[in-house]
Amino acid sequence: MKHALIPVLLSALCLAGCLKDDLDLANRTSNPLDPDYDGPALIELVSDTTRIVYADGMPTDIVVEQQVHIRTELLPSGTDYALYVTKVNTGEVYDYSNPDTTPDRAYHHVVPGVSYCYDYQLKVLFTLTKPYRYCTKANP
Amino acid sequence: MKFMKAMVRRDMIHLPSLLLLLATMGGGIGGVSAQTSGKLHLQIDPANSFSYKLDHHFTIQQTDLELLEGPHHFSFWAPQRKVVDTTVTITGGEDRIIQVRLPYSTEYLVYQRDLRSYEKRMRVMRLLPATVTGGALIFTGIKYANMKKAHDRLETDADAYDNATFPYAITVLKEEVIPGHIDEFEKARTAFRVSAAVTVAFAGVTTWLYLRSAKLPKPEFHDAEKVRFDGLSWMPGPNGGAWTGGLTWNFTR
Repeated sequence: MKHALIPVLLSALCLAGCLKDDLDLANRTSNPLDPDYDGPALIELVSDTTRIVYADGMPTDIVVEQQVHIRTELLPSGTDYALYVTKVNTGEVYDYSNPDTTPDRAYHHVVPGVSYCYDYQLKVLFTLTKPYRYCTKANP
Repeated sequence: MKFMKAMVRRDMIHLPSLLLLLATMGGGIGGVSAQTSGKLHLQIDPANSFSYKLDHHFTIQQTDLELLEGPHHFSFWAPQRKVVDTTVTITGGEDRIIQVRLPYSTEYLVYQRDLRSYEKRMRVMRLLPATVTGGALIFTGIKYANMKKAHDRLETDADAYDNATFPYAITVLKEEVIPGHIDEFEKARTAFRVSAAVTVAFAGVTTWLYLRSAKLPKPEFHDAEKVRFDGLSWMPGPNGGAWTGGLTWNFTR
């Protein structure tokens, strides 16, 4: 009887210890579609420019533009997405899932020395991923 | 006489013949003639384990006897039963049937009472705690299964998170589904730990009672009536008593 108790106790301790709550919500941020995603950037800034637009040899506008790259290899294969851009300085939104959205999202008539920012997100099934903010200081 | 010895030693197979022969020889020696015999059939309860002493000399198990007429003393005995002494008078040429039911001895009844009490205590000290511990073990098993089920749900949630294909699904998982499942898992784990602790406590108590009960002496039956039947008896006295025994030797053999 004394010997029979030992396996019972060991089993109870083992069973009590072997199942732990290993699903830590705070640290579960590995899915690129998670609004709290904390991995490699899904949208990368490729280049940004401040250029002067001339008309008839005369400068008519100063424009800030950015080019970004979407790392589709991080997404589950077959994910249907569209780019969603917010101009932080003006609040304008460019939702490229909407066919009527104009492709030109540049800042026009910028003031030299001022920083102009964009928030880039992906729109997947009507919901947005984590925003990536990139800013460019107007420096023509 | 050599012939008589041989007959006695062969398990009394020819006992009626022996008795008859003894009687005949006794009659010849004593000068008393023309004694006749009668047959006796014994119906004893218990039927298979009894013995009896005939005329304080012969220990016999047979049920059919042929005896010389006149009174004969019988001491009947069987394991666990009292010795019953009686005298049967045989009438020549007649067949008789004697029915004797041997009552249980006082020692055996006391032993039975003590044995029942012992078995009851054993049941209380062993079977009952073991049953309770077994029940607690089953309950703990059920709680473990519940906890495992809750844990499996969390693992399913983790897979669902890794394979989610749009942000809203992840938001629902992280804000509604997973917190609910974590809560269920923690409740199930608490229930399991409590039941496991109770089971371990029960197992400890069961072990303690088992070891303690092993020290209880089991009643033993000493058949004092057998000692009496065989010739040795206990004579209680003011200072404890003494064993007394009788020795009988048949010088004619």
